[in-house]
Amino acid sequence: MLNKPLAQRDKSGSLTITITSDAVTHIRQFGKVDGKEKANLRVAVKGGGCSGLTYVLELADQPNENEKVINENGLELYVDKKSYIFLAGTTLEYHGGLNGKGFVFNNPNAKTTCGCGTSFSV
Amino acid sequence: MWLRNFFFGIDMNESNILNKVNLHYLNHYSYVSIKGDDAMGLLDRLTTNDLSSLKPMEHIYTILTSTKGKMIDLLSVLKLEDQIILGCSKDALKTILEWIDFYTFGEEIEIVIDQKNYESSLMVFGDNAVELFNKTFDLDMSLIEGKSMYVAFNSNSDGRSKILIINKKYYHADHYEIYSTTSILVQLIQLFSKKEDFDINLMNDKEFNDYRISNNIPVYPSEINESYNPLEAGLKKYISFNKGCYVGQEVITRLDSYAKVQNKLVLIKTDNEIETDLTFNDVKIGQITSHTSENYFNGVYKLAYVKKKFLNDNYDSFEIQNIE
Repeated sequence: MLNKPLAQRDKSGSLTITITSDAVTHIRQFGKVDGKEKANLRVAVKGGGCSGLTYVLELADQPNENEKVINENGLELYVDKKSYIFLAGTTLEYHGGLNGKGFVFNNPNAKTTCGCGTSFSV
Repeated sequence: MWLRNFFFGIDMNESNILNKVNLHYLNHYSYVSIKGDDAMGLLDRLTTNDLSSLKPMEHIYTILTSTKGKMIDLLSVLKLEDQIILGCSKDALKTILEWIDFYTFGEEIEIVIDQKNYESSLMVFGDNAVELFNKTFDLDMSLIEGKSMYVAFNSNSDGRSKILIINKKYYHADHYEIYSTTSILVQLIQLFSKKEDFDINLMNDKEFNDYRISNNIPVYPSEINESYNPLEAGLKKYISFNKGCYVGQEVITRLDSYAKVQNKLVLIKTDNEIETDLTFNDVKIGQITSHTSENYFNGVYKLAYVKKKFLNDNYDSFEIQNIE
């Protein structure tokens, strides 16, 4: 059956979404390529993917109405309220190793992820 | 007891059913309207079939599956110009709406549960169904599978009434459904019944249940439920293996690719009193899910999920033999 996640607190007890400085650097680089050097980041979840829920990342100039704004390492994260329930406690990292490059959601609410890692269930 | 591989199901020509025009009012289905730019995309991401290329007036069946690849329900999706008419089992509607709500985040979607224009459906099937439509509505209809068309006719109370005819072909024979209001469908049944050139058979729920069981057609909740996956239920034709990710896709694709499907829905002919479990040497080999009336074509026919290792894959129907 469908389960709503219990919002997870990170190790410091904070119920928020964090982004590492390395990930912020890469966001800024992507923004520069896209001609949006000062762009911030919209983080969201949408239905779909093998495990049911998929992460969404997009550059954004400003928050939409009713979006929560989180300041992290000089970057603003915009998160809608429903997505926030599924993302609270998440750390967004950037991995650049030989096994694959890209942003990685370290989400304590995710109970399972699909093989390719793009979707999760709670 | 053993399952013998020689029973090939009921010969529908012998049964004479398809020589008639069968009308069955679908009591157990609900039809909701879904509007919004993101509606089809969301349904596509949640269900097994490829809905992305569906054009207005086209219909497709798709299956809502859990993350474990088990069936929630078989959905009927009809795309109209301004909305989607989603058909599902009445008893599964609440679960389906909860499912859609759970997976809706920022999408632009509006669901109208008590929409009135297409609140009910009349199933029409048999070899002469199209001819009945043509004679009744003065048409020359050639409606291929998955297509639909609007038809207007003179009804008793409302003057010209509009109905929607869809060729769904879910069942083995051509199968049409007419969507409209309940009152118009009642008038339509009366109108069809007066056509003396046709052998009209008004099929009640019990008769339809016998028909669908003898044709190995699964329904919610007896065969379509969260204990089994679509491959076990014989619904592979409603799965797209090219569309990319949807909820449950990884499990279903793996089961198919590695031939790991455990059970198969089969038709069984038996005179035995078997209520639920099928056993062999005290080992459970299957589960009876539904059965026909007594003495339906000289026997009782049952649908059962049976472990594939006890079956010959080339057969869909079996007869139970008692072994001394």
